[in-house]
Amino acid sequence: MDRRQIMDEISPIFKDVMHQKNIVLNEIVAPQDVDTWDSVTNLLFISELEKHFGIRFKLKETVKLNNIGDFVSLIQSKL
Amino acid sequence: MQFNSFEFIVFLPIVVLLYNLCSERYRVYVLLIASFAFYAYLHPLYLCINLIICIMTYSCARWIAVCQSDKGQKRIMFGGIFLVLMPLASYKFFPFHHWILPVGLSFYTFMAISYIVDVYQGKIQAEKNPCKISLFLSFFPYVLSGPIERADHILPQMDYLRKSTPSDLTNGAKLMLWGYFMKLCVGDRLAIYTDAIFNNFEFHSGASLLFALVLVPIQCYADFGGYSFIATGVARCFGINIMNNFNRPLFSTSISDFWHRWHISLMKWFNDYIYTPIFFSLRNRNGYGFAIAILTTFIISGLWHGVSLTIVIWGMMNGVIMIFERHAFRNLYFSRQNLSWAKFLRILLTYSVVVFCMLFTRFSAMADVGFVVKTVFSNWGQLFIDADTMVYGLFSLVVLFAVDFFEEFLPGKIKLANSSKFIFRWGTYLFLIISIMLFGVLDGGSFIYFQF
Repeated sequence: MDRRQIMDEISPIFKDVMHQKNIVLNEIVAPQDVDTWDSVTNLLFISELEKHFGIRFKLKETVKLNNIGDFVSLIQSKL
Repeated sequence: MQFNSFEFIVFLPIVVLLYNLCSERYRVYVLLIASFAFYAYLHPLYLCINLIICIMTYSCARWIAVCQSDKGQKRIMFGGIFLVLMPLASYKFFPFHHWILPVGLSFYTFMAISYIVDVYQGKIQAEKNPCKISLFLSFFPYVLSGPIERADHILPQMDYLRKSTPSDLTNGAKLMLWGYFMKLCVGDRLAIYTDAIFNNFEFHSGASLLFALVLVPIQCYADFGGYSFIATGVARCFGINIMNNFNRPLFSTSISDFWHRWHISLMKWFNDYIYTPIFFSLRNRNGYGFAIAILTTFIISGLWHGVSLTIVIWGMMNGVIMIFERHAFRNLYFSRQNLSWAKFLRILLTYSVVVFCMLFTRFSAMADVGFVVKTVFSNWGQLFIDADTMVYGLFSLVVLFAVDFFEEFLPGKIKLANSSKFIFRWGTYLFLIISIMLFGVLDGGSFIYFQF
């Protein structure tokens, strides 16, 4: 799966978890850009991504995620 | 040696001088020897424990770095955490007869744990130079009471220890001056009143108890916030930036906001190394994961502050309030309003909750807490007046409050110590120095957070 396809699939999940219906998601979007992206919604987002893609993240992998681009790279490495 | 001791006033300029006289490659050793001397001056045994933790931390991190398998690295990490926690756990939970907890032990133990975990998680590389790890864990500005620094913030600064610039020295001195004002004029002054009330709480009226309770968060903030400003200022004299530990907590608009502004380095540590791993492992349990993680974090935070039922209740109350805020409070009408009256109400409500929670940290027996609450509601009586303490303390408190108020609501609008005009700048310095000499408590009282 290429990065664009992954972006297309994570976008609705992100909008739903973060309650940000109108956000235009791109790879440089980071927690400081989204009011509702805090430690709780971050883990809910991770949990939803795991369910959607049928993958499992390790804590040590997730602590290094700084923006959406990092999420895409990590998902890509697991598919 | 304490920041408010005569010895420290002599010690600091000597170290700054030596640091700037030697070449860049030797500066790390000057700071290391100074840090060891500073810490050993309290008690040589303290330095021995610090050295043991430095050696264990360095060895574990290096071992993780050379270990190939993730499983092996994980085992070394947990082994390392267990080993560095041993001294703290033995002092906290199995206190040896007449042995006193070494000052700062929990602060550098937490730093050691964060370093080992960060190396395991690949956030940082394991440092090869043991002297740098020793300096990271024993740097004298923060070894006694934090801030609980992180290796990824401090170690890169230690790679190149430049000469102190005039701006480093003036900014450092300004931070220290403000810290001494907070500590000596507000914290120590208010402590005279609150100690007089709480040490004999059975004999005081409800009015006095309530007044003292309202002063407790301000007193703790002035004491520990003052210490943190001094620590930041001392480190700045060597061109080293250490993290901000307080961000005007008296203006918090919710309890979660309060914990983002109060003892920031500790709360970040708890967030990264307790709350996040628990929540991560329970991430598929919907809302329960968050609730269990936050409650466990605050109970552990409570146990760190002291082993007693009241402290555990304090931790649980904070956890429950934060869960409530997340799920219910944010939907209330006045929580969503950005109007000044709604914000004022939120600040007032938050402060009241903080005051009530802190009552549980002042007493170790539930019966005493119950007695105080009962007295406040049933025996109002007359307010205990200690004229000197109240006048000096409240005057200094107004200054602290005004400075925080302007920084919070009108940032950058009023520049006193940072003004470009000589008269404002030096007027502020002189005002603070004269206030410390007139209103400060100068008999070398200790810092509240040394006991942890």
